[in-house]
Amino acid sequence: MCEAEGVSFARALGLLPVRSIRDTSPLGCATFIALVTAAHLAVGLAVLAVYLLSGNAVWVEQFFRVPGALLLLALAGMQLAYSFLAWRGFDPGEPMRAAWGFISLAAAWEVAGTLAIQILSSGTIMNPLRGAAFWPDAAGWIRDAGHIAGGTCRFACLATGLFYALRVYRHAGFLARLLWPDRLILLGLAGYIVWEFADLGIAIQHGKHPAAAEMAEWPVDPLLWVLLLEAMLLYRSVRAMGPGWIGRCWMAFGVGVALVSLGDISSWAFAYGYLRWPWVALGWYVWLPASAAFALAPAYQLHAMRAASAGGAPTR
Amino acid sequence: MGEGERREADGAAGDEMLSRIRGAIGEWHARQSRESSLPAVKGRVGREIAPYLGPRASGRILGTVSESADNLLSTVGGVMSLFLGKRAANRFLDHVVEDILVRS
Repeated sequence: MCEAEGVSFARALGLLPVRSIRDTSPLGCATFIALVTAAHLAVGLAVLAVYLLSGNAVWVEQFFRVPGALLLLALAGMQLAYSFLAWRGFDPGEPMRAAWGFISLAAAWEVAGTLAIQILSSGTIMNPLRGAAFWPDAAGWIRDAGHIAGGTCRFACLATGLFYALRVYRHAGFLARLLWPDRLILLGLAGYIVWEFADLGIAIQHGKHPAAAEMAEWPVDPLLWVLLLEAMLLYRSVRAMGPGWIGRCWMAFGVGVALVSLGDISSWAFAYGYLRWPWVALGWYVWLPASAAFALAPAYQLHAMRAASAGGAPTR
Repeated sequence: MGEGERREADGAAGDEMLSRIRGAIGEWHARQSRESSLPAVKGRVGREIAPYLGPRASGRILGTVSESADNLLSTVGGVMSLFLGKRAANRFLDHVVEDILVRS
């Protein structure tokens, strides 16, 4: 679909720099993103079913080590490429330029984090550092650095970007209010964060000594709470405006944030014994559509910008 | 003034009056068509921006446009610029002006 517009596969995946906004077919790539992610999910869930029947977890492990890892890296790359193009579509001083600047930074942190976690700290053949003498000792801190990059750094930038986007909605007079179900969800998530920190406090009192890398990840859940608040405001605002391509972009961010929150809660639940294997594996699958949503968002924005520049109505 | 001269003068006055009446009718028709095409133009502009902003948002935007539609382009362009950038919004407005306002 991307190649139909004269774009090489590598450029479409964000693995090579894109020359100009005319190089890409954002809507074609959006369809490609959705289809490839759906295919991966289908295979992944089939693999989970094989494990549940056979009791052999290597199927699930290999799925996430290789095809799952490659998909996450490809989606992160596309997110970065499209976010950067969207940022370039705004001139200095335009309000949305700051939003897309921070969103692009968040995407860059995501690429760095995914590379570190999925490739450079893994023992698979995809890792070019695997044969290096320093790698066995370095793998742990490479993984930790990846979690900090893809967690705290990424979410801080994304929260700032969505804040600027909300300012634009308010300036345009389109910012909606939260409804009581939204406030209830936010209250519930705030309760989960308090419970989580209480668990942590108890663990520290009982002798746990958190490492610096772990402490660097403590802001992740409060940042996710802020992101969920922003995502809900965007969702309500988009719903009030009616369906449109600009709304699809910000709705996709909201879906991504909601899925990441779900994945984060499942990780915490497993770490503290509230969720057991194999049910925690279901939480792993959430990261695939979450990454797809974050890649789709800038693709929709670019599609709207290109369609407006061409002077036609954006195709469905 | 003789009978013939009086008839000529009456004819000229009648022609002048007829010409003034025709001119007034023409002006009235032009004013009517201009005023009746404004809602149609606003409607068409609304249909152009709805796929981007959503139908309710486009309705709200057009609701702030004056009756004479003097601020139509600046209002629509301002909102489109916020979400799509000035460059894309300006090209979009070029299309709106060419396809809708000029040809209506």
